[in-house]
Amino acid sequence: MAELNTACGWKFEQRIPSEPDVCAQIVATLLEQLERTKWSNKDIFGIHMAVEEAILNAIHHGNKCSPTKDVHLMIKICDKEFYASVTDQGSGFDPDEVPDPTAEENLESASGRGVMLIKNFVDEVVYNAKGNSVELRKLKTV
Amino acid sequence: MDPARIERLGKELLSLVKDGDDSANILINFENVSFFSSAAINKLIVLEKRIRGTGGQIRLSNLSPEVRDLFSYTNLDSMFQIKDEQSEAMDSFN
Repeated sequence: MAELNTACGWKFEQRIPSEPDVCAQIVATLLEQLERTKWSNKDIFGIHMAVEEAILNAIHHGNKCSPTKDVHLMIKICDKEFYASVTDQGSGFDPDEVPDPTAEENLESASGRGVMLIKNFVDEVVYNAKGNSVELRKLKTV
Repeated sequence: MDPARIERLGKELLSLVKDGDDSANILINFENVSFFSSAAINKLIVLEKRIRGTGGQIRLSNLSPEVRDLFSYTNLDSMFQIKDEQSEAMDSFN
């Protein structure tokens, strides 16, 4: 993913335990910052969706909620764009192999919906080769 | 949405349909819903299955544009009948 080319007023980098409650706390802090920096409701909804799904995927599917594994988060809110990277300590996955959750036969299954939502609600999604790290980017709507 | 809130939502939704109910028709008005996660969607799908089991129907109304997009991207607008207004949703029950 290309380097950010705007000034970033808020940066957050931390290793968090594989606990969904911690994800909720971080997302709440992130939403406060996005509102403070005047992102639109539509942008905030999209970032909320993508970041929450990425972190919960890392906790549940990557680290299997293991108390000995953590999730590395890097979040930047810049003047014109949002960036986040989420890296777990699991064995990774191939996002192209995830079943299509929009197929009629898969609609009632939870599998793959989070990955698909991440893709739809931000502008750019890049997984590393191992599949245990994802970068998200969204441009600010003006 | 924190996990406890999701679990509470799931229990509250399922409590809408009791064992032995016949043709339970349920309308959910999303007017005050500003965010809906995939975990929340999963709870709604469980409710839909239970309602279908009674021979009833579920309708959703008053979704924000963003939540409406969520149902569109996931193709779940083919599973749930979504109406703009509550009155329209009420009128759509067979």
